[in-house]
Amino acid sequence: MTVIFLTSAEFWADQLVNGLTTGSIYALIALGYTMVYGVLQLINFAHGEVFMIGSFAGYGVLVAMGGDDTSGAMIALALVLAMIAASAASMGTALAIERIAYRPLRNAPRLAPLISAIGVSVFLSHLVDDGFLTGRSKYYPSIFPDGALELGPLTISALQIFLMGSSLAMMGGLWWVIQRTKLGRGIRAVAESRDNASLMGIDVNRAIVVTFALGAIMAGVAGVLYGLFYSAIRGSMGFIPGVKAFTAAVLGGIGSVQGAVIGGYFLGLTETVGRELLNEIPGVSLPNQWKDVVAFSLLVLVLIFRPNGIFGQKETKRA
Amino acid sequence: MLESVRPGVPRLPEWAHALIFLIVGLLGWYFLDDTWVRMLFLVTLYATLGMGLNVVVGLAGLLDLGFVAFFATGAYVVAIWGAPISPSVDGVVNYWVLLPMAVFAGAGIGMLLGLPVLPLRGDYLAIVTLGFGEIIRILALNMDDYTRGSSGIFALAKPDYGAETVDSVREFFIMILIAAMAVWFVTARLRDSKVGRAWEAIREDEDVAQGMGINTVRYKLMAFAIGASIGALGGAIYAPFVDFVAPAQFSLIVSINVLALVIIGGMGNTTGVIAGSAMLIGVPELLQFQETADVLAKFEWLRDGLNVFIDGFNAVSFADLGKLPPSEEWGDKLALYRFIVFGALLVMVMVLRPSGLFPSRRRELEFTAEEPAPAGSA
Amino acid sequence: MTHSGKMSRWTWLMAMVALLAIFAVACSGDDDDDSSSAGFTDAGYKTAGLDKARVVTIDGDIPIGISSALTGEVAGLGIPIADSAEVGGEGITIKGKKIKWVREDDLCSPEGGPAAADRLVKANVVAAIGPICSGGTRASLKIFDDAGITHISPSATAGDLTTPTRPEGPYVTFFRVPVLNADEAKAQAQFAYDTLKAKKAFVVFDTDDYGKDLAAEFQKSFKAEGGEIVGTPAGYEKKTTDFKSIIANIKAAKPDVIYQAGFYAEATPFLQQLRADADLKSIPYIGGDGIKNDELLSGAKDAAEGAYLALPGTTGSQFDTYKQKYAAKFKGNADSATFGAEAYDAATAILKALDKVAVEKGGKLEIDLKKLNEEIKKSSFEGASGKVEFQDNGNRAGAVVRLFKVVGGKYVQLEAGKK
Repeated sequence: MTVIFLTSAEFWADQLVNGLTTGSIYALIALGYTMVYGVLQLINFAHGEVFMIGSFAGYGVLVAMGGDDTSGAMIALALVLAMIAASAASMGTALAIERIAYRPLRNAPRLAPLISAIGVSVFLSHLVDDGFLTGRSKYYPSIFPDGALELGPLTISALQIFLMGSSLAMMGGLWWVIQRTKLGRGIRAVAESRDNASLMGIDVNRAIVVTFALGAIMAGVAGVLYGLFYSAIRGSMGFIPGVKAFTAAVLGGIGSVQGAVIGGYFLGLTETVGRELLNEIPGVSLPNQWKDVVAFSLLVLVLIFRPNGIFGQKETKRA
Repeated sequence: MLESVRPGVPRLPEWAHALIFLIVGLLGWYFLDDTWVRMLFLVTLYATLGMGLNVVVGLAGLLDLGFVAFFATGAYVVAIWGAPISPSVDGVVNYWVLLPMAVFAGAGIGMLLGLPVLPLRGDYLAIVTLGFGEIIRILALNMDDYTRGSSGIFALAKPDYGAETVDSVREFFIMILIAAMAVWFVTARLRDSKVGRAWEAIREDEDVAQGMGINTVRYKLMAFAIGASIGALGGAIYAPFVDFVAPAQFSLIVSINVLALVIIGGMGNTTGVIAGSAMLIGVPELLQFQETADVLAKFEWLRDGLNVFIDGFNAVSFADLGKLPPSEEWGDKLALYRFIVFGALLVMVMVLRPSGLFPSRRRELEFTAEEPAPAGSA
Repeated sequence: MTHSGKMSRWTWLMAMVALLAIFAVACSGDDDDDSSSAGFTDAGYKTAGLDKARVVTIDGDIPIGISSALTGEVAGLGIPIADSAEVGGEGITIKGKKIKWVREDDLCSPEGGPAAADRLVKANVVAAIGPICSGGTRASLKIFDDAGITHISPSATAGDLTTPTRPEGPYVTFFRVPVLNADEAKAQAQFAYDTLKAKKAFVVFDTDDYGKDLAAEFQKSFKAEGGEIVGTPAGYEKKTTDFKSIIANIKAAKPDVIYQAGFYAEATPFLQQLRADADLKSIPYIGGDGIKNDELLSGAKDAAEGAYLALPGTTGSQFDTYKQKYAAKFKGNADSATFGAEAYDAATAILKALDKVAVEKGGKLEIDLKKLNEEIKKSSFEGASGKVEFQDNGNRAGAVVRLFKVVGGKYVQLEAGKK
């Protein structure tokens, strides 16, 4: 065997941070998938587009607040307003989708809402790309202050700290809502059994709407964070993160909230650190373009040995 | 909403639908020009793929979002062994040898994927198959030594008959029409056989099916392999038709198109698959035709009327809505917005007819029952 | 079932491992031999639809096709190209007949190319400009050839388009105006090695046809100069926005220069993320011609400062005329229309040839497509992108590559040997 670590500690630290950043975004989006699946057993294919709309709303606010020239305390204000606008826009989109494309199909054959979800996804992404932007991208203003935290080989930029911090805060908030509030109890009861919840006097429609809204808020914030970090946004931007977040949700065990979070980070780390670790094996060369192969292979491997994902229940209740 | 059970109206048997389709296809082939025949080819190709996926999704109830993997397999088998330019194989194999090779390769890949994932249920299967479709595409993109990557493989061996080769749009259309009829026949027979009943039992309730002594994994694997080989057959005919095989042709949108047309048509029956294909593949193609724009141009009075309305609206509401463009631009606009139309179409059809355009009879009864349909697809 | 399930899991895993091992063994990187750059052959003329001696009679305007990316990711490149081609015919009439431009969307893709070609053929165009991308062009060559319609691409640069692997040699109906990827990459490699004094380069590329070809040509030329390619060249697909992992690889490889072959849509976020890294703030960056676009300047802003970009071709004596007409008709700035001058020249070549071969007969025009093809081949004029002449295989004769640097948010052309 040759030397194991050909590359420096800084390299691994970099990739670790990259994995955690992507993982944060995947996790935030995955929460929306998993919660909707929990209550409706529906793969909400349009969730990536809910994320996209949020990102554009945040972009609008940041540009309106002065774009690249925003400075000082205005930056903080702009960021907060952008996130609020993004959450609101995402929520509006998600609720509209639920009302128009899912609710009429609630008792329809299982695959009908899946197809209408795909329809919404294609419609929204192309409406933004072909209808409004004619194929061009928008770029988030780079207003976030520079600066970085250095811990030995580890360098984390202020933006990365902000990104990971806000996503953790959002997830914490969501956990609180689900576990500690009456709304959350309603959602959990509906996820357990829609019929029983309804018998117990829980307003099922309301619980479903709240679920969509909560998932959309997470996606909206993720949209702003994504834009701040990767800069380029476009109508089709939701597709790849959407598929990845869905993968993360399944990895964690779909329907499970903590599973979505763990799945998100796990997938983010696999794509970066995991792939680079494989590259250390002599004879293996998996440059960047192979990362999706690594990610999906991992999914297959995990599901072979844990058919219901990492946190999934032993056997799906609804077979 | 679900008024489609009309006991009094006798329905045509399925073979009659297939016959009508065949006749319409042949009439189109005889009377229309190449651009239209090209569209008919695509519609028939996707209908064939749809019949393949229908075995998996409609009959056996397995949700497959990676059907493109098998389509790609068929196309690449024909390309790698049938084109002089392919880097890993010297010489050219006759197309009629390659065609069955492609079909077998499809079945093989289908079983390879099926073995580990078939024990999974419902939606887990969906994401794993989706991932597998992507893996195949990325492999094709990056394994330049076999596939030439994004440069693709071209100048493929063409099918020959007698001293002639199949190399025009029209000849390929006849070829895909024959394939579609063959696939229709085989899948219809399978559905009505013992195998078909086993699939149906699995689809309705896997545990009960197993309890009744049905080897569920074996039958599921069979459905997967049959669907996959039909996908590969489609790929093997598509490849020499476009005479170019590259990863960009095998993106997820192909899987989505095929799945959508199966479900829009009404799962589990061939008539629906053909109607779904005509709608989802034909309509977006049609939007790009000059003829469509010409027909629409006849409705210019409608635009003028709407513009008057817009003017009025602007005047009373301080809004500033733009006017509709002149009809010469409609063709370009329609082509540009075809995906928006496609997406809206999917939602509309599903909301208006949740069990598809032509629901199969037995399923129709299921869906109209008072009880909500069983949540699980597996 | 649990037992058999477990069995099949392991069997499957072992089958997969065995399969991977076979692949690894079978993987032998044989070098592809460069095809000789032979010219048009008689056989090539014979197979082309030209020999069916099509003489078209035109009553009304003369239809000329334009196949370009009008929607999608590359529309920012494609629309100005289509506009520039139209500008080439502005105010020109052929024996009293006007030009009717027929635009079709080739989406810059291998599927869009042939579909657009098909529609152009059906629209009975006498000649065409495009397709604009190599993949789409390759897939359309035969369609145009069968129909006997001569087409000139303003921007398809892959080497093998004029060296297809068929006994008949290059397609006689295909010409192109741009300088090839190989020439561009060579100029950039020389610039990196000689002028920037870079010894180690890291290569980032779009995995599409164009990006892969340009990246490979750069590596070849940079090594030939004496340089070294460090790290594994990193590929990405269109619409990628996350380049952080590639950037970590760049840092670890410690190159002197970064080379990117791709398009502006991905180069913009790449540059922004690259320059956001404290260690890579000032490392020289060289990008290919697909990246030199105004969208890069407006999108990447400060991050684009100091970037070196190449543009094959030069400014010819007709450039100012083209620029004025373009500004008048489409309100755009021709300086930023990449391949615009080439499209203008492609249109000019077709129109000049048309003027020679069109014969007026009773108020109608007769055009012999074969003669038109021959006239286009004989083209020789001063255009907007320099002197336009074609080699014996349809390629542009005499390659010039210009280098630009982004200074103060603008593209500034570099003088030879300056940085």
